Amino acid sequence: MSVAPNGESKSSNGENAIEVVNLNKYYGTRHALRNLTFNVKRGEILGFLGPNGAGKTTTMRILTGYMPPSSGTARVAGYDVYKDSLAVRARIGYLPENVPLYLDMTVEDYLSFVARLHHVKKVDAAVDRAMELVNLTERYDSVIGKLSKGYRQRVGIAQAIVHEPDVLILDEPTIGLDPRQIIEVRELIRALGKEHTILLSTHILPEVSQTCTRVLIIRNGEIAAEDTPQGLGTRMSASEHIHLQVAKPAPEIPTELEKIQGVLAVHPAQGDGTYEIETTLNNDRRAEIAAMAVTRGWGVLELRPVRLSLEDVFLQLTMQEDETESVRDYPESSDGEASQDQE
Amino acid sequence: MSNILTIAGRELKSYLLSPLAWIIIALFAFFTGFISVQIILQTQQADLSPLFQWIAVLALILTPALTMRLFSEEYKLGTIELLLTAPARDWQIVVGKFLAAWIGFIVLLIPTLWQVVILKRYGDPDFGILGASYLGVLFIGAAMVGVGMFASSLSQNQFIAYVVGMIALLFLWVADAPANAMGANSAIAGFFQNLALPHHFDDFFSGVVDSQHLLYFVSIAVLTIVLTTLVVQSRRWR
Repeated sequence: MSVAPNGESKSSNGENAIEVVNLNKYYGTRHALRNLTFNVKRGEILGFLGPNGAGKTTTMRILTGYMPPSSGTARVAGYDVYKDSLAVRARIGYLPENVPLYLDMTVEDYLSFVARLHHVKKVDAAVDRAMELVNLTERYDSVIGKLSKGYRQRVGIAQAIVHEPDVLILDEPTIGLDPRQIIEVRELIRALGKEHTILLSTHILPEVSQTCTRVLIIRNGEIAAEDTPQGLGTRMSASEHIHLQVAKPAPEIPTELEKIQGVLAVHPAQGDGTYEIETTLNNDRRAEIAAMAVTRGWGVLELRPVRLSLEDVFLQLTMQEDETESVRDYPESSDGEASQDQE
Repeated sequence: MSNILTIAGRELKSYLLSPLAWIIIALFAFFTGFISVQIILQTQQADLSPLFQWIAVLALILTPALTMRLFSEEYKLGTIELLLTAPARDWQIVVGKFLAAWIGFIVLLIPTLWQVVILKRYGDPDFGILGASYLGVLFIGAAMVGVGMFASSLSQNQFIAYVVGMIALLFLWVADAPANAMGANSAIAGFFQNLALPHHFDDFFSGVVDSQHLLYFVSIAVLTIVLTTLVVQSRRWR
């Protein structure tokens, strides 16, 4: 549908809605994005995941033409975000992290303004459609400043879709909402994903597994991982973990447990009788562990498999051996490194 | 053009909704009315030329209040991100806002027409002088709105925008002070003299329309629009 205005780049083959190649951004001396490269296919909902300050908003601001990259290229719908900024902006719907609302306007006036700004031909029809999609129709006459946070977020999303853009870029769309509103917004995003290509940023993990078809984890301005939500989970679990809690902890328990075939390592927690047992994949040793615990009289309180949640994957990926970072949630850095080695 | 009108339209609507705009209009109408009455009672003549001097003074105080939110509010609400990611050029956004504020300024003048109606009813005013005076005020307004808008683009705090805008206008007003102090007819003194606002509006109020003065006000308006565009643009480069 959209054709690149010059034959410079052959990469815009229409299959990718967003193409990012070697994107770099410096804020003064701070290197915020480092050679970021990724694509988003048409119709995809890509989750952009990372801790605060990882470069999510920066990337989105470059893609939406708000700021230029320091180097590298980015194309949206085939247009270069810097050279054809206006063409890109016309094809993007953007919900910034701070929802840009004029608090003194009514919902309808505000959406009409945004529609006009995007040169929509039939403004009223477009506004009605957008309000309907986000369930705002009955609030069309409300002054935005008097709306609740959840409604404001909906106005923000309506604003992003009112001109029916090819690509939707949503920066933390569920931030600050209550759980029910979060569910509503996620459902809305999933529904929008049927017609739009969506790039969605978040630092909340369930959001990604629930709404996205693909996840891109970003850390310190670099891509740390890229996969489907399910794929990331399995990829990280090269081993399985079993959680064991006993009534009578003893120093010899780890060495004893490691004698069981298939057990790779045993990590005792801080002396409260819990142990994290690592085993090889698809090799359930719970029966043997239970039998041993009973015969030695340790007194089993709890024995259960631990599944690596996306949350763990995220932490592992984003907190790996960052010498420069002071964040250390792992009690021992060797633990963190041990689990990386299995990748 | 449609972008400029869209921006200006929203801005004007926002004025209508803002109590501040109505307060400014009321203050302006009250003071111009009050001053007119004083002038007519004292001079007993159908001549309002001193009124326009006062309008310029009032404009100095009230225009920055009209313009202070133009960009400051966008920064504060984060709506600047909406504007800067919309398919509109930065200068179109700036010109749209300028136009809205200028139209707002022109609206301020409407109540003063009432004084003209009264003069016409009871006397024989010189419409040539009146026309020139109003033309002059329109152009003074354009320059003042430009300066105020530029001040607004510098801060997300409306109060700071107001103070900076008014101080900048004050400096322009008294720019000829160094020239008067120097007393000499040097080129520098001439430059400062030419920079001063009153130096350029006095002629209008005595009925003279001089293109040199028009050029002065238009230059200030254009310069401040360019500067504001650069400031807004600089947010993209941070």
